[in-house]
Amino acid sequence: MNIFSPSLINSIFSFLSLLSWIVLLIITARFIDKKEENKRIKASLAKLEGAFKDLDEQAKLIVKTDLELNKTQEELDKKISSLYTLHKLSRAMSTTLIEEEILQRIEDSLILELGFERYLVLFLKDSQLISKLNVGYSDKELQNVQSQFANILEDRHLKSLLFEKSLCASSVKLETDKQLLNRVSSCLGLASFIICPIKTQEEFLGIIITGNTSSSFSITEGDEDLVAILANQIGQAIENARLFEQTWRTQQDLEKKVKERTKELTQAFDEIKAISKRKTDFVSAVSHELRTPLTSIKGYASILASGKLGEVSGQIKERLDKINRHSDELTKLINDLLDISRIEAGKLEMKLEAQDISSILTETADLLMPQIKEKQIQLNLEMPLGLEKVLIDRSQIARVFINLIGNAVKFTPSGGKIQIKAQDSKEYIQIDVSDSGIGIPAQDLEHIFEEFYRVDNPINQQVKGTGLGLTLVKHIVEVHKGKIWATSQLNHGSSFSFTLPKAKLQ
Amino acid sequence: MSTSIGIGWSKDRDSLTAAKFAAGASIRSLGQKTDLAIVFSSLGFDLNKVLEGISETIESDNIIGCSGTSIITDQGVEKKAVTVMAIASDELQFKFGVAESIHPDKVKEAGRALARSALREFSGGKRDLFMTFCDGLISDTSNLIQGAQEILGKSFPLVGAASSDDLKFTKTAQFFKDRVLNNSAVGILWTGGINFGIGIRHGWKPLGRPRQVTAAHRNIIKTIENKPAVNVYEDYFGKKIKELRYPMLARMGILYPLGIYLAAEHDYILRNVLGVFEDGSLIFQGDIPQGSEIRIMIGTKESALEAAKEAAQEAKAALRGRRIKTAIIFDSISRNKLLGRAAFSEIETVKEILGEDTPIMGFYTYGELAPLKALDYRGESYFHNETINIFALGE
Repeated sequence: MNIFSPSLINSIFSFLSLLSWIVLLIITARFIDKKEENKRIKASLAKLEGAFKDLDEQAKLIVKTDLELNKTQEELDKKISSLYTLHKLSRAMSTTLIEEEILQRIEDSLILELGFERYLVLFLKDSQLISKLNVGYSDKELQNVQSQFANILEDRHLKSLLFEKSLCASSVKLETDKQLLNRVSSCLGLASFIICPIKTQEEFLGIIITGNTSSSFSITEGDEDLVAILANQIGQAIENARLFEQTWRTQQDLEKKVKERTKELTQAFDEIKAISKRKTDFVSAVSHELRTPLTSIKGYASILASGKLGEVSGQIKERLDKINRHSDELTKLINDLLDISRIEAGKLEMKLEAQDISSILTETADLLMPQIKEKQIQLNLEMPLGLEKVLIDRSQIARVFINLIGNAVKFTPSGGKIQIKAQDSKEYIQIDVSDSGIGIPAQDLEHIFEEFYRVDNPINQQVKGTGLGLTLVKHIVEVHKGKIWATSQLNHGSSFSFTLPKAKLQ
Repeated sequence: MSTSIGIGWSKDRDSLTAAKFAAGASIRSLGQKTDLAIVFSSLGFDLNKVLEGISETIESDNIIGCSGTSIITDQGVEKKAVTVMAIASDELQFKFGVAESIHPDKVKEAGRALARSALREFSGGKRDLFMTFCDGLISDTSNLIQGAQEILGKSFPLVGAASSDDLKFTKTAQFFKDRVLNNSAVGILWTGGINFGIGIRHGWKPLGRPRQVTAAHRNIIKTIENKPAVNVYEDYFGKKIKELRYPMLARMGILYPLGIYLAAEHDYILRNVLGVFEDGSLIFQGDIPQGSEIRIMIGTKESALEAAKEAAQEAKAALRGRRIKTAIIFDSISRNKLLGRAAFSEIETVKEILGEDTPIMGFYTYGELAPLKALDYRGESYFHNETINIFALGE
């Protein structure tokens, strides 16, 4: 029997072909799957690449934004730093009021903070440029600039900008004037520059030059403003210094003049003192010389009048009495003069003691009472109780009262009033002697204490006086460290006031 | 056996007076003859007079240093100042090295010469560190470092900075003994056993997609992704090549440097762009290997200050609890630009970490030199841009 029957073989074949079909189908399906996956992967890759590209584009955007930000920040930083630096510069300049020191106070590192490499401050004097501040130029370069730049400053365009309009000139402003731009650039050795005038209110002082040697650091309008502010600050600082200098000088001159005048016055005063001393000495000497013969005259007149040397007739006696009286007056005059001389020469012997002013006053009033009563004058003494004692020489102050009250009696008409008042002030006792007399004309009031000054009035014409009484009074009061003054109203009366120091204060 | 250190600075208008004052202040507490004076000065002074004033005051010409855009003092950041660190020691020796008039095609040779001249005087003992100051206008400082390390040893610590000139990129100065040099590199080999810590960070973050450098030679990138290199900046800044002319590009480049990813360091090393050629090639401060993956980087004030803090912590940690005697800060000028008026707050951040009373000095640089930390680099020094590089000397 044939086991491989045709039907079996057919069956096997059909099974195999079915199998191969299935395998083929699976392979095809797998292949399609793979392709799909590949497609998906490719699509993802494309997506990723797209995202990567987008990211890179975003990175570019970030760089551009960052670049802008950096630029803005750099500018902002520069502005803030510049303002801060300007403030520091201004403070540095204000630490001195000496013109020569103002620019010396500016540190190079500080000025470089403004962002320029080179700085020059040139002052113009008799068309010569004098360097006052130099940062970044060698001595040789500076010499070149000094010798050449004065010429360039003559350029009409530059002149008008700087000196007429008081504006800055810069490489930006002069861009259209290529020829001038090149001249300035090569003279200063600066690719970009700013030149600004420095002025006080009245005068043009010079220029500030600044800039960079490299063209990559260009100048902006903000920079121009900055340099203009700096130039202005320098100008103001110098102006302040000059004003101060002027004031100081004026003050010095004044002080010098005051010193000179004081010296002159001191010299004049010394001369006057010397003359016054000579006068005093002279008066003193003459007075002494006069007193001796005067005593003799008075003595002989007395002997004659006594009749011891023979009888004296009425007429002769009358004349001898006159000699006697005139001699007395002359003696008094000489004594007063001697006292004044002594006081002036500081030779008056004073016996200073604590004294009760009321008792001296009462004694003096008693002494003068006959005359007071005779003229029926009403005398009022106003003494507060418990008045403090004064430090005085009793006999001298008695003379003051005699003189003052005597005068009051003399110039007060019959039935008039004399008032004497003492009052306590802080350091002094003040005494006022007032009368209801004829008074003293205003023009005479300031002279009454002068030697031999006599007010021209009917009483003085009748009653003789030496004109030394008030002078002596003044001297005595002053030698006691007191003051004396007088007030008066014509035809109503006069008032003499003086002060004496209290005893306890000494 | 002791080492005394003093720092002084001045901003006096007169070059000689400023130098004498700064030097005078630095030696006040020294008590013995100055063995080394490290000097940083801004360019506003007559630098010959500055060196004259210092050597007269310290009675020696053992001076090394360079010019800087702004000077860092413990009181603030000064645009015109001179600062002096004076060291007197009976345990340390300092060997002076110099390479003058460096040819642009022979920078590596200059590096070798610099190291050799310092080693010439060295007669054995412990070599600690090489501190170098090179002209910031040298365009591939990386080669200079490589040259020096070929002589000193690949893993020998090398620290320093590139001198700067107020962003004019025209002339910077290096100080060697009593001479003011240009286009040169000067250095000091510290020997005798010192403890020091170095911390370096930038704080810039990558932005945008990575790109591959397709053609580069030393410090010049010809193409990035087969297009002229300048296209990258044109793209990001939205400005045409004409507007990106030097030094405009240099000023923008310090804010947005290129970052080269260093996998082992988990960080980017930054490169400042200095200029652009007619064909669109970019000139960088430091080398960029062909094939490197680069990204444009962006910095913020916060990230910069945070980086300063980290750098200070790193320097302090390296001293393992030893008291910090003094610190020198080499701070990139780009950070000064980024921080603006807040520049001194970065220094204050550093002072807070190192100790308020720690005497410090420094300057703003055109590039910082410091070793990489990761094991893969075996402590080899690299040229960095945009970093704060802190050198702390411990007891």
